[in-house]
Amino acid sequence: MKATFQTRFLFWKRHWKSLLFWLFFPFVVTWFLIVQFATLQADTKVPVGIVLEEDTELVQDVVASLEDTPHIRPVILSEKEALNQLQKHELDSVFIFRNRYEESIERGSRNQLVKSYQSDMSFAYTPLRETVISYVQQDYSRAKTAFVVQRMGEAYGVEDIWSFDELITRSKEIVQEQKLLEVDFSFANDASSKGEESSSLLKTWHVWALFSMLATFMVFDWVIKEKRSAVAPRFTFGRYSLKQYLLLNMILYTSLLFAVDLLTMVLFKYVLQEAITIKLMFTLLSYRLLLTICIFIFSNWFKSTYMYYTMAFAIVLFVTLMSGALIPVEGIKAKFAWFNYINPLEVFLTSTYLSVWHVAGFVLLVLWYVWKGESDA
Amino acid sequence: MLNIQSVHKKYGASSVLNDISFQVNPGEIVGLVGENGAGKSTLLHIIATLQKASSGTLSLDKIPYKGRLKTVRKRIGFVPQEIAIWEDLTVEENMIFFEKLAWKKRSVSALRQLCLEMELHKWKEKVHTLSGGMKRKLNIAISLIHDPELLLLDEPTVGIDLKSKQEIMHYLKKLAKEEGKTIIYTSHDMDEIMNLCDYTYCLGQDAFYETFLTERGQEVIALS
Repeated sequence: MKATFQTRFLFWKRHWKSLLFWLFFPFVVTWFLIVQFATLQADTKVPVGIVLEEDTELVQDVVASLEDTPHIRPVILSEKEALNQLQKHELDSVFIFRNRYEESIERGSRNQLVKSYQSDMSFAYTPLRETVISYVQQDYSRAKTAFVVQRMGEAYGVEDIWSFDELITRSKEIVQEQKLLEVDFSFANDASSKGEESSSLLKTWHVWALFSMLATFMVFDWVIKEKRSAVAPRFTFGRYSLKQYLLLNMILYTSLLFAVDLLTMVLFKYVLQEAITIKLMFTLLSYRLLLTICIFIFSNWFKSTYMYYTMAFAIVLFVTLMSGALIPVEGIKAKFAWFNYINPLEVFLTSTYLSVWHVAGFVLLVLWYVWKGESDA
Repeated sequence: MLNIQSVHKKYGASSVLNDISFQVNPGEIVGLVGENGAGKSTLLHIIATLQKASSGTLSLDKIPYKGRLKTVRKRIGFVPQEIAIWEDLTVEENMIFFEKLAWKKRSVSALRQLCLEMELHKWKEKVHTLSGGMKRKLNIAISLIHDPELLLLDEPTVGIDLKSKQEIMHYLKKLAKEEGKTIIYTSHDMDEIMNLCDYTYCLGQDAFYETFLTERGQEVIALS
């Protein structure tokens, strides 16, 4: 293996630029696409002007809730600026949290808490209004409950009665702990999808999986270049046969690519805040083995790199369209159960470790290795 | 000593080699000539273990080919007709590459010395910048890294200048006479054959080469 590494290093040293390009191509492209997509998504959110006449904790909670709401981009402004932008249709609508909002809520009053404005082009005003009202209603209900609990404590002579703030804080904690607002939807007799959802990989890795496949195809053109070169007969007289040489190099490339996969995982943590988990590492290893074994076998069929590149691009395009990594294919999956088995990305998308492609790839690899070529004396 | 007995080679119904038998002793340089399609390259490939004979036996230093291919291959150096070197790498890198995969270890200085003996001085140059003659010299040098006893050369000087040809032939003679290597050499250049070879085996039905070489005082043995 040391000799194989030393010989391979001679090529890597000579072609380090293209090697480096393809090694980090999946990371760079995924990063670029995810960041661009996020920017695009932010631009397509409905801009809502928020005016805060008071800066209390309760008002800040509502603003935070609005910021967490999908498809809404709250912009905090002064009343004058907000109305100015609304007139110029730069905002869909404006919501003004009136002075003494917190005090009114705590008093159990729901009147004149929020004032809103819309323009003739406010297409999202109604759902926005309902959203804001729901958050205000939530605060009001919480305050009302705390108030009732306190009154009950007084009525029944409880000595160690909680303060209003303690009751509000505890109420929020219970919401967080019990996830009262999280609901699992499932069809009758179907298992809940909650567990699967929480363990499935994010889109970042789906995008990476596709570009990683393309990069692996590009990196593995060495198989054709070296197997079909005039140098091939020389291996007959060396320590390693051509097949052993190719196989050892495949192992070497797999190790290198997996090391880059792990590095990518770390880089994704820093640039895209993706989680690093042991399960993800095993999924990456499984996917890396699948890619290198299958692409190695595939590249052995080709005599020209031109045909190989053409087929590689066609396969990546096909997988992009059919795998469900970018485009949802739930309908096809539901209708054709076998689809999951032939989808090479299934193992990655579902964080499982073994697929029919692993088995097929390994069997073909063994057959390739034991099959004696016609010219072998 | 290379010993070949009753070797036949058929491709389907077509017979290329018929009952070929001969011996080559250590230190001898033997030519292998014949018209195109006579089977020179096929015979050379069979001796090099790159192809299998349909029937017949071969042995090198009394080691039979059958069942002991690996042992035999360690003793063979094969120079293919095509230039079999990595064009992207330098002369040094090519030598190191094949040394790493060779049975016999050699130091970098020994590899360089091997090249210098062949008048190949451009050690750090990338191969694709070298002349045809230099590439041919490197093609031979790589085949000699593991110090083989039997050297098989398939038209090794095609398309190179006279000076390089002379340098290569001078070196091959030195290998045979001083180091006792057995050399089998195929070529269409009869001047080369006459200059280099101790005697020549002639393949094929056409007597042209046999007559041509005999008239010029070369010892020729017809093989079929």
